[in-house]
Amino acid sequence: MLQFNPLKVECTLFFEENPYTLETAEGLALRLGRKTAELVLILEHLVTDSILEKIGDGEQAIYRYVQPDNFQIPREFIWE
Amino acid sequence: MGVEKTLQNLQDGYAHLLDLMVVLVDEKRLLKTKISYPKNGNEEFLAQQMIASIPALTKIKSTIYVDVLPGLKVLAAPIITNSQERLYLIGGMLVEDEIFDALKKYLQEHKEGAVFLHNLQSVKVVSNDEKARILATFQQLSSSIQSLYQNQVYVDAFQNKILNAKWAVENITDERFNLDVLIQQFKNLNPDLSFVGIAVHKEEERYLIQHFAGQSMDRVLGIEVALGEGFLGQVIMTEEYSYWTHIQEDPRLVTYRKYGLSPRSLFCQPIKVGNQTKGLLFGGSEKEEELFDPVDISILASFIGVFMVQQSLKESSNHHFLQLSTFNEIFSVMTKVNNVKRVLYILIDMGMNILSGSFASVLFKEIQVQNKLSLLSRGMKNEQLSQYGRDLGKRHFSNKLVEKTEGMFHELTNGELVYEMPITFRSELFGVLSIGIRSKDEVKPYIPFLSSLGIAGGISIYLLQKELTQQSDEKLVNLLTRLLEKNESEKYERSVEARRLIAGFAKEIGLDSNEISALENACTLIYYEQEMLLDAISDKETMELMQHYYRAQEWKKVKNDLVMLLFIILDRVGEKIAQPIKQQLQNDPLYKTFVEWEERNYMAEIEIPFGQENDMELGAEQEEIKKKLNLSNREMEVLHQVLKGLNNREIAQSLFISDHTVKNHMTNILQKLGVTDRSQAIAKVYQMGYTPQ
Repeated sequence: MLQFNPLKVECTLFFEENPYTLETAEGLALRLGRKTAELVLILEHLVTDSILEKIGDGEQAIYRYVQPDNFQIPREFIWE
Repeated sequence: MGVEKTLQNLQDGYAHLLDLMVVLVDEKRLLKTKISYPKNGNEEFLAQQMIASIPALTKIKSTIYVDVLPGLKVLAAPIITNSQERLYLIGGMLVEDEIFDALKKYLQEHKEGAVFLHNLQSVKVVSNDEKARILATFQQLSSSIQSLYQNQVYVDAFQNKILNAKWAVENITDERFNLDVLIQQFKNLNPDLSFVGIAVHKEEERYLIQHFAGQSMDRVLGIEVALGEGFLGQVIMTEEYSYWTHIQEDPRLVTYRKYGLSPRSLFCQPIKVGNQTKGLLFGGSEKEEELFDPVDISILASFIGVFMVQQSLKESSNHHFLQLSTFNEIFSVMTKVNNVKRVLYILIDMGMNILSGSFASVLFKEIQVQNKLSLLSRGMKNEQLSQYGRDLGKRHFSNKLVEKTEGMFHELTNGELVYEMPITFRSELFGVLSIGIRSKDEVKPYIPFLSSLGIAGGISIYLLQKELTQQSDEKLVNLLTRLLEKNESEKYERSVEARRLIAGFAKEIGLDSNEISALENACTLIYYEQEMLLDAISDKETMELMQHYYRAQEWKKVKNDLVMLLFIILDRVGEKIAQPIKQQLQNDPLYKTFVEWEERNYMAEIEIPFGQENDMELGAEQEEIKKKLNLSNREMEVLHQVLKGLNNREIAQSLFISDHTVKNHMTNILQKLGVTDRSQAIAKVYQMGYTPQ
């Protein structure tokens, strides 16, 4: 079975809805109504996937959303 | 009838037949049945003496005569009960005719013989032949009793199985019930089994031992059973029940010993669900030739199959529920973010989350930038981005029409696999979501979910773009209408009148709001050049309507119902229409409907003042104000509604025009009155002596 972690989805959606949030794991746990310990693991996963960026270390580490890279492709390359 | 009663009846019958006392006792000589007496006797004390006097009762292994005193004989036969208890069937007493006198003399001379001498009439005197016949008949009785007990063993075992099956069926839905409990129960019912286990099918030809009851459980769990290898692997191939005995020297047993198991006999039954082998049920015994019951094993395997199906349905239902609630959450956030790019970010991140992809990207066409595609990406290296984006664009955006809405697999030049999911809605392709994956099999269970996600993304983007185009088109049409009013007042008047007619008649024939809005826009846009408009208009409906309109102008022929309606209205407001088109529209049924509607509407308008004398005066007042302020008929109507205290929406509804048109009229009215808001306008009109009724 593949990874389909509802908490990971919930956490990602939170940052997508609030893309300018800067928050610690504890603060996020409070906002999402989850336990800090289980959230930390998920946040680390999201950092590995480059969905979040972690600033600092330990309990005071702050997480923020990272927008995907944007690359422009001129249309003439497609309809040449 | 229980075994005890049948036994007693049998024993009573034979006692009569043999004319002997018969009783069943245990090893301690305690009575297990009531003593059955011969036809004419009832000497309990004598029977007790007879039982007590049998020498070495527990040594008796077959049906024999035993002398309780020299010459005085009893019959004894061992019996094994269903609970493995050893009993003895005793029958007596008798003496051979040729030694009767000698026995009597012995009894007289010996103290222990006194009780028997006293009851000598109860001792059966038999010839040698009779003695042999009695032994044979007694043998029959003991065999019958033995069979009775043996049958009871089967009945007990059968009842046990029924109870066990009932227990399993009743507990299948219990949360605590599982296959470990089931096989442990089976092992308890079959004490000779030293272990029972289940190997569960994983993928392709792999089977893993996941349930085990017996010693070395920790070491055995997780062992893989390979196709064709060893005892169990053979059953995977043959898909048939097999058992093996005397296997202690079999080389295949070496692996078993490694895990602390030394069976001497073994069975294995495939667990089938439909035509697939979902697992293997196996067990072993330390007995060299264990008699496994294939029916029992097959029933257990079928039950395990049923349980596996039930578990898999439960898992699948939970999984679907999880997918559905996740989808709801994602869609809900998509509708909240109010920005196309943020919708695309959600698609990318969810793609990575759900498939644990190595990368995820979305190629999409930006609505504002006509000649560019953008590739949003997470996790893909920059050098790959450009090449993949162009390739993806060529494959998906070179045709305007969307042919396929399902996702597809694509292999990158470096061998990496990608799942590409079009983001579509109403045959329009907005973009393509690409997710880097490890294998096709990983994606398959999630394809329906990803398709729904693609459509949800399509809907969200469609709605956001529509909102955006409506806003920009509204501004443009507003500007063009004001320009028209300033520079071409007659055209402007016709345009306003056409809008009024469209708003009323369109509702009459049931057009939807998008069509009405497109027709209203067209009332202004027809006065401008085609080349200037088509690049500036974003709304799909308006654009399509205008294209049909220009084509009809060019071909002098109308091929579209909405454009037909537009021409009918334009003709009605006095716009110059090419003769062939004019002819075509007058023959169209829609024209007749319009004429009828307008007549009804006109009747309604002129019916209102009938019988209201003051209205004539009001009309004069209206005319005066209209003239003074240079207001159009429509503007006068709007002003009249403003004075009645109606807001823009209420005015739009009462006059069958759009909010946007009311706003236009209001701007003009305020300008012409030289005021800045409605309250000043109302005050000014009242000052001029106009009082609405």
